[in-house]
Amino acid sequence: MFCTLRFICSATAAIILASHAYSQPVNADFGSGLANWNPVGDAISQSGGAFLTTASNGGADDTANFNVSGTSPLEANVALGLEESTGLAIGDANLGLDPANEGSGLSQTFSLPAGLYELSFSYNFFTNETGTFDHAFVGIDGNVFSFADSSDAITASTSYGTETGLKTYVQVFTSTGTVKLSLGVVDTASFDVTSAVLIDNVTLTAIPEPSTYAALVGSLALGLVAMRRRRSA
Amino acid sequence: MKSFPAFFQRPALGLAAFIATLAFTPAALQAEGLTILHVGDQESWLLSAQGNLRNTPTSSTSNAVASAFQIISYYGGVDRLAAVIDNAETTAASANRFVIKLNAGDAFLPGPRFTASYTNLANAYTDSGQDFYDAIALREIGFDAAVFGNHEFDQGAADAARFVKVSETTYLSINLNFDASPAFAALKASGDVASSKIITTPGGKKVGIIGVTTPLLPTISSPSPVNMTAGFSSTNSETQNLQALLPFVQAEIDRLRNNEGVTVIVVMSHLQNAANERNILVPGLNNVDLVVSGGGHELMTDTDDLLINGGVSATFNTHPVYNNDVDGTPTPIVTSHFGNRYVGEVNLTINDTTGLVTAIDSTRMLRVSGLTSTITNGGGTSGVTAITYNADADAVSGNVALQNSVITPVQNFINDLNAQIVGQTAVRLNGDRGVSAPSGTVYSAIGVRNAETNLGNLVADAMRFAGAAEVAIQNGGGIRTTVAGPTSPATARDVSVGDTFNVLPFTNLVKRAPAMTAAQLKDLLEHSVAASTPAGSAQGRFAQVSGIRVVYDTTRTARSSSGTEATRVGTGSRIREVVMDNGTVLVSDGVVNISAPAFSFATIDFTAAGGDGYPFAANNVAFENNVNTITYQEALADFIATEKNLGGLGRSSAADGPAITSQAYGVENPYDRYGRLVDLAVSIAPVEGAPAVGTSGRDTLGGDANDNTITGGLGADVLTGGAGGDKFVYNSLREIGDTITDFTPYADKLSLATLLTNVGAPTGNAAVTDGYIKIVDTIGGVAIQLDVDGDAGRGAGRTIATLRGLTAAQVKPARDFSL
Repeated sequence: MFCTLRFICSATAAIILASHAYSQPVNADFGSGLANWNPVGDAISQSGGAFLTTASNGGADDTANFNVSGTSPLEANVALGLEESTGLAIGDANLGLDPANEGSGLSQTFSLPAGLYELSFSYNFFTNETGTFDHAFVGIDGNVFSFADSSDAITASTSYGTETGLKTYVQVFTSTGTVKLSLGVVDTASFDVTSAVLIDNVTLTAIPEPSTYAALVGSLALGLVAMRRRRSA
Repeated sequence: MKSFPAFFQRPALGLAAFIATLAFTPAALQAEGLTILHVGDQESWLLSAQGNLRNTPTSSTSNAVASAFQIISYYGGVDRLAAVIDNAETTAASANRFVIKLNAGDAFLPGPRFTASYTNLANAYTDSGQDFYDAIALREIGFDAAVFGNHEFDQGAADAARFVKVSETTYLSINLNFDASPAFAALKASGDVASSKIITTPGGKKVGIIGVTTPLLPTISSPSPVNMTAGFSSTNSETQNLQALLPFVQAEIDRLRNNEGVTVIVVMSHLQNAANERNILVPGLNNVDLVVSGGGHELMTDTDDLLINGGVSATFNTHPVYNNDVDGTPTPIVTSHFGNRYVGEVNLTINDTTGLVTAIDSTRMLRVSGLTSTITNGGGTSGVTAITYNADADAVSGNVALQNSVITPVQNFINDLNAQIVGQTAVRLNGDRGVSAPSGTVYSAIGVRNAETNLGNLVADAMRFAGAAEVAIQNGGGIRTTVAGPTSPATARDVSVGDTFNVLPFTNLVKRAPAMTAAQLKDLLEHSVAASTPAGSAQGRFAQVSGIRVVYDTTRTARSSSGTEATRVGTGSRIREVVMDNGTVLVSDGVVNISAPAFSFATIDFTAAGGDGYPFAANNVAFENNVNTITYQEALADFIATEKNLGGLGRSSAADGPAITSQAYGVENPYDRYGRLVDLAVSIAPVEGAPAVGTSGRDTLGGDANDNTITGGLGADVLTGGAGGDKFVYNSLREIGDTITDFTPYADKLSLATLLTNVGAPTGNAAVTDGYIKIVDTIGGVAIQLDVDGDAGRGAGRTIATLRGLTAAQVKPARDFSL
């Protein structure tokens, strides 16, 4: 787990572990490659995490071939395309200025007792784009958010043009029992020029009812509930 | 002045009264003189008959050509109207005539000059509430009665009631429910609004004034909750409602005559068109002595009445006009044009014993002139010819109180408004006249009178927008000057309201014809180019167009020029092709497509009325009567300022670029075959240039000055077609995401058929109507999108190409795409 606000994270986790039984998605840290996940498009296990790209098989998208799996991304905004193949509805990955053209993703369905949870994972977003805003998305029970786009990738990268560097994303959600988690990266505005995302350490943490820990952390937890954004690693 | 025979008799009560009247006429002292002064449709033309300018130009160094006809700004003006009325009252008083002053409605009109009241006079009335400049003028003039027109309700019933209160004028209407709002009920209780009003002369005779308001009111204004009564039904036609009104008007006439001792009846009706008074009202009533009509803006003059310089010609060459009432008695109808330009005067004689009208002695239409001294305009600049306008003997200097309380503050407000920026332009807008070559086929200068220009296109587009029409034309003669472009190509220059006045200085109003045919349009266009030459002769009639592409040939037979052009349909063969933006072919190879559906059309009232010889009447083009209150200058300013998602040119942010772009309004070139107006005698046949083909990556690709086929291929490419008619080809989904920097409507095309086929979408028009191809405004341009599952599917449209500098409203699939 990456966490700059280590006190908050560890303190919260400690309370939760003490008070609730909870489950994690299977192979959430990708320790067993992509086992138990449903990958589509150009998706592989890499660097101990999952690596997804928007590169076509054959390398026509860039001056070099950035496709890593031999499988091309799936087209978006069509039936049986990227969105429906990752447990979303058509058009759900249209989160930027321009609709999604194609992309790759992975998904897993698991069960959690009803209640409030915190999802977190670490990521690094890579891109060769300079103008348009390819982006990476997370979908949880059909609610889809962009957690990185090419305008965030401002650090020089060895393999790609630029990258965001390693970051953590945190999202609070309510489970009603069964949870479908979707992760992916999409090309927008055009089909060429590749972006990619490395994802690791997917973690789900139950957030107890306020009464069980109010005395200890109080308003800190309320701050977490309101949080739905990227956080520095 | 029109004088009538001394013993002209109008037997208002039939033969018995006629005889009774005759019996007393020999005794001249037993007659009382009555003068009725009437105005109507003042419509907030407070400053002058020009509109927003007053007494300009006065500089001897300004360019006389560019600002010609601003002489009209010396006419009209409510202070001068008041002085003309005052003079007429003095004259009448000296002849021992009693004066009644009537106002035929539409005393104000929302717009910049009315807005000045809301800005400046919110607490100005004696009760510390809202006053109005128009009402200040009504108070100063002191009208005996006014009738509710339609515009009194344009700002809602509450403001209508407020205006009545502060105008301190009795407002009349027999067919409005004054109990419908508390404010109106209070005015009714105080007698400030009523069905009729009785005015007693010094001789003790009673004159009854009855007000009638157009039953179109609910559809053309905002009177709610005040509703129409007197037989009105919203499901009736206008004529049916007018017919239903007649018994109520007659009942009031009879009540006044039989119960109130009234012996002179004036019906003051605001029915939007004097034809309604002539053809419906008068033939359906009796015992009416005079009808004062408002709302139609008709100018009724006798041959000896003086007209304002730069105004319109008369609608009726006699004043008054007559029609027979129910009893067959000729009943006079008068109206007094609009905009504080004229004061109508009717001199009657009332029998001192019976009180009946014995004669209309004379009538005058008094022009409102402020040209008190001779004006010489221009001539201070080398090469500019001075124009001299002689002073008018009937000129007035105007009511000083109104100059201080109305003219100066409104003028200041308008001057500030003139400085307001409506948008920006990336290009010089050519409003030059154009100059023909001494010989040959190369113009000496391109201008609005001899070729398509970007400013001509802009004005015609504004006209089409204002008229909500499919096609519009603007005569080149109505466009008076050029708007300078930015100092460097990368920047944009502000365009002010004042600029739009400089370009379009006349008081031309937008007119709309709801259904024009291809044959009518061809004849109008034949007239437009009938006097044009391959050398580029500058003709004021030359039409700048919107909504159509016109190919003509100035070497072919022109529309015949013998006789009066406005009176007959012509026979020219210069118009070769006319195609609407929606693809409808109106004329092909010189032949009218008689099966083309009718289309809506807009132009200015000047040409609609036959100005520049336009044969609208000969072609029986029917214009709407009621949508004529926006000037072409207002149309242009509104079009530039209106946000692009609403069909105008306005951009919401600096990032979106200027309103007037080089792509939409680029510099004209009469020598190519592209654009809206093409003279085959001048233009050169297109030359196919080398095709440009991109790589699989992101290319920056361009064509040459000829026609190029440009295929960007894979990757998000940046494409520039250059001059000529260029074709941008898309074959597969993976090629999308391009930017086209200079897509030019009417010249360039997006070729999308192969792409549509490859993604399994329908081709042809269905691609657009079913939502497979979408046209969406985006920052800095318009995105042409492909939605592979159409409107029926959930998928979103993906941008095939962004056309920089254009708006969604400026892209027409039938014209700009190959589907």
